[in-house]
Amino acid sequence: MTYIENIYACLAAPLLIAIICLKGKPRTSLMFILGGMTACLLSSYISSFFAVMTGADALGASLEISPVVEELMKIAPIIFWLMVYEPHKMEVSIEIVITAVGFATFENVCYLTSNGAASLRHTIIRGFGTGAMHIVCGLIIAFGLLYLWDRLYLRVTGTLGLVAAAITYHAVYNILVSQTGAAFVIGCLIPMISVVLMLLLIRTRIERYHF
Amino acid sequence: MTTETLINLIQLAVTAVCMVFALHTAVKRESREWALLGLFYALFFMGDLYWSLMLAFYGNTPSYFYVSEIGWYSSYLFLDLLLRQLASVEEKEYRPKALWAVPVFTAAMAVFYMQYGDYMINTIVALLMGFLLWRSIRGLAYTGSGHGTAADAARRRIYLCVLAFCVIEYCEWTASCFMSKEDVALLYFAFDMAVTLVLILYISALGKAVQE
Repeated sequence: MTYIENIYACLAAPLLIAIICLKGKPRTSLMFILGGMTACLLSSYISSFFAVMTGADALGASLEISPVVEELMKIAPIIFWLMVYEPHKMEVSIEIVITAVGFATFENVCYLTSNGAASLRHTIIRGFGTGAMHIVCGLIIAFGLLYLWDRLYLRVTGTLGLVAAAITYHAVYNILVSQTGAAFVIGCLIPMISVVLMLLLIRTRIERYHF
Repeated sequence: MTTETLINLIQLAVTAVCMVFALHTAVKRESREWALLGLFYALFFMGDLYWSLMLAFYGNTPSYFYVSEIGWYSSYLFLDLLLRQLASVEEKEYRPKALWAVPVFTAAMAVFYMQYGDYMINTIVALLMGFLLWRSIRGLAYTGSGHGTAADAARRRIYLCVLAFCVIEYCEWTASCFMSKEDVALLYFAFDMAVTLVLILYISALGKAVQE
């Protein structure tokens, strides 16, 4: 059994102290790392709840329920921020990725606590596979919003659509890594390939915004 | 390889190529319209991919949650945003009375599909299809009535494509309700192929609309 609340308390404490001590942008970024970790903790509870409700087994929950819950929870801190403040679109895009970093980090720590860190190969696959996948999902929403920010109707419906894109991407990844052989290898490589393709596709835009 | 698998593979290949083309054009021209079309293709592709992978690896369709549907119906959302983005201010204010037949039609079809499927999903589809049909028919009526400029007329192709897409999707869903009959199943696959063809036509239609 993994006591994820205990792990969360241990990881969140230094972040919380740093948030109190710092000011300005570093504080905002640390808050979103903590937000991502909190989203991950809550996702595991909500996914378990829906799995019990629908009678899904562990595999069914991982393929069909977790991607939806995790991506919705990951965007929740950003939605709250958007509703309370009026941040600039670049700030929002960056904090979306930072939230994803917090989420992926906490998930990886929980994974390592349950499965051990003895095998370097497994930890690297985990880091550049699932860890990177969460960052790609954040990047999908972040880069998409850069195009859809200017008008309110585009921003609202566009965010919904981009979260849907992240959900389906996450679900496809989960299906592939649940297999063995070639499908598993393709699944593990997809996040890194996606990062490279995204960087190539939007290089000029990144340079302009110093993303 | 079954007919369904073959058609799914063709549709996956088409949407993947169109997605890359549209997103590349969006970045190259810094065009929001192409970005919206690219996102439409991306979501359609990922909905199809998830569905096909579930069939290939587990031999059945998703049973606990609507992941593929989230992909497909969100793709309609981006198509709707594209039509909204393209329409001129005058066109948005143009509302012939015949347009009110659209919500009546989509509501009636939703009630029919509810005999076979989920209430929530069919309500969402009715809403999204209602918006798509409304905007495409309004665009066709506006540009056909001689009100608009040359730029307005250039949008006729994209409106025709969206209208064709919606009509074929409705035909496909209706056929899927009677899939147990062999000839209806063939008709279903024919509609699926027709959807794939319309997906290709979006590229040239948007090219024409944005160029003008």
